[in-house]
Amino acid sequence: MRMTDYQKLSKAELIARLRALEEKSRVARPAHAELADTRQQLDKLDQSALHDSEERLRAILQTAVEAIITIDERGIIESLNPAAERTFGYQPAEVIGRNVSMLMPSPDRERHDSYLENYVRTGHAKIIGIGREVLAQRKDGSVFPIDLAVSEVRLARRRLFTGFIRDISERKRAELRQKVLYATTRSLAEAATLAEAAPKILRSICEQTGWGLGEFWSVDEESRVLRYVGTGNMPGVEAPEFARLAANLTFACGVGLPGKSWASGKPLWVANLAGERDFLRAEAAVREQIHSAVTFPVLLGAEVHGVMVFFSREMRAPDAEMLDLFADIGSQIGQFIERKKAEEKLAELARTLAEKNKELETIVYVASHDLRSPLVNIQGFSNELALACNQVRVRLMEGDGAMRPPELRELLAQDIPEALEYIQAGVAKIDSLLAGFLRYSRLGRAALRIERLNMNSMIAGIVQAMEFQIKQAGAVLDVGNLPDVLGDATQINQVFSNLLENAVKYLDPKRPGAISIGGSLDAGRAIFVVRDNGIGIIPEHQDKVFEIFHRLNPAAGEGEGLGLTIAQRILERQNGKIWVESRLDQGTAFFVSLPAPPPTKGPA
Amino acid sequence: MNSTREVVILIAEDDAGHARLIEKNLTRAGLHNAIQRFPNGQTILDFLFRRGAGPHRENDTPYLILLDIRMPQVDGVEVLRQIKADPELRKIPTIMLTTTDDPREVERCHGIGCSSYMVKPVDYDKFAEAIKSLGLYISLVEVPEIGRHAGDGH
Repeated sequence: MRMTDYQKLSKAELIARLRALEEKSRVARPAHAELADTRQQLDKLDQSALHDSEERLRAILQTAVEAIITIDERGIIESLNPAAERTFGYQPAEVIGRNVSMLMPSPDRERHDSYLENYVRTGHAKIIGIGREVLAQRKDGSVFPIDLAVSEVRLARRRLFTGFIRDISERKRAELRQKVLYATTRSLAEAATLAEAAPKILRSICEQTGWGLGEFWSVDEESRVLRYVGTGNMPGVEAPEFARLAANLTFACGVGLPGKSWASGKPLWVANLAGERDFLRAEAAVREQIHSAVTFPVLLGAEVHGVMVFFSREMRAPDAEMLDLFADIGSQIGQFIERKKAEEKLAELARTLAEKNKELETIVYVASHDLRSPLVNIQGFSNELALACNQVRVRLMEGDGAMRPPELRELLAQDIPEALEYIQAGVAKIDSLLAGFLRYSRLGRAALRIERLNMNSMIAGIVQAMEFQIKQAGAVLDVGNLPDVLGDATQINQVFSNLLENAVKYLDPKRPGAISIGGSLDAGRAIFVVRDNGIGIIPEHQDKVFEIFHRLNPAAGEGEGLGLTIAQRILERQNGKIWVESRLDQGTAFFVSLPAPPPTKGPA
Repeated sequence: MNSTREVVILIAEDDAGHARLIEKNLTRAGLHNAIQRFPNGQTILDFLFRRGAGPHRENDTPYLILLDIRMPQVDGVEVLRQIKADPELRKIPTIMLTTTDDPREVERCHGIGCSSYMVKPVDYDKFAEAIKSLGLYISLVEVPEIGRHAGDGH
């Protein structure tokens, strides 16, 4: 109803309308209140929801494991979460409002503003939206590797950058460890000796760990000192004076830094060499600007085989992780040494085997000749025999039994007995050769009983047994005072019996025989000499006399050419030696060397 | 050429049986040359180089040498080496006899300059065959007479 319409109404009509309106208004009032309430309620709800979401966001930031830092377009830090505080070691008040470059080491620190400016200008991102590994710096100045991801937030009028930062020191350490151990393993695998591998290993450890200079010292088993093996360094960290000094140094156990590590079997970290009294190259260290050192043993079980030393121009604080890594390197090299030692033993064994094999080849060669020789006679003469017998038969059958005695007599008296004789001699020869072989091979199997032997009484016994032969040869025998030895009584007796027999056998009938037996001690060994003035041996045959079945003079009576071969074999098994000196027509001297017993008792 | 009859066969062999078999089989093969036997390397060297008290080589006699390789003291290879090192004696045909056919040994002897190399076979027939072919070889080879001027004739 419009206003003009009311002008047409009467007063009564107006009152009635008012009443009606008043009534309507009365009814609507609670709805108004409800409306206001509802509106208020709604506002409240809105407020709380906003608050909640802020809370939630804050909670996320507060509890995030990753460090989260927000900066503006100019690089000014707007916020950081507790993880960031912990990671970098700052309180929020110390960083908020300051340039984020304070959290970076050089050269990023100086360049960060231009990185950011460049991005804002060109939109060309290097990190934003990508993420990469960079270095960060804590409040205490220490630098550590991080994985950094940056995201961009565009607001109405400005934009923010949020950095998500994860400390990857742990992972990097594991990688370093793997790299160093791998490089060490590879260098060891490629090298024949530790001395050859050492410079490579040292260099790679230097390069990977940042220690400038490394040295390897090996324990000299004999003189019980540490001897310099080699050095390796990071490119650009040469310390020639240091290395020169090292080459002439040795460390006794417990002396100097390497010696201390050797004595304790444990690593030793010296952060500042200036205060170290045990450091022998202090002056050179000053000149070469070396400040820190770490040394650790190369261990094989509990035994120290060498010591590694690393030097640094920077002052380096002890680092448990690095010490752990060094310990691993030490044991790895220890295992290499162990393996090399086993290989050397194997090679030694192979050499001995090769020698034995050569010896065996000689024996087989000689045997193949010497055993065939009598066989040629046996077969040859048995054929002669067959032929002769056939002839006898033919002659007997011929002309009605009219024999021709002279021819038959020749066959029966000469050809047939001769053949039989050679056949029998051949069989006997093979028999004696085979017996000799058996004796020789038995020597290698006989169990030895090594004990202290009184050589004076042993030689006296041998001389007594040979008294008749010596007397018959018309020889004079002179026996000196003889030192005791360690050996097997039966076999050593055999050696000297053989030597004395030979001396008697090869005397020169042109002059009266003179044989002497003497002995002396020399550096823990007893040296004996059996000397004769016999026929002697020409130089070309002096090696051959030890050959199996070799006989100097087959006319000189019995013997199968085994005496000296057996003597040599016996001595070989008892850590002994035999050699000969001889001059033709002047005589021969056989020398025997055997281990002497430890000097607990005086000589007998 | 009738000079084969005159050739004297020198056998250096330490095994008397082997020497005897060689002699017998040479004879059976029809070779009736004079045979002179030496029991070791030293005695044949003394004979050839005319040393010591034993018999010495004649100037006008052609020789052929059978040398056993393995002998005590001076072995066959050493005898061969000394023969071949002498400008006169090196012309004498020399046949090496051995019980082994070790190729290294064969090569060594040929290297020094032996005329032939024979392995003493255990098989008697083979051995006789070898001796016979050796006889044939001796009868065919022109044996130089050392210590004479060429074309001297007789």
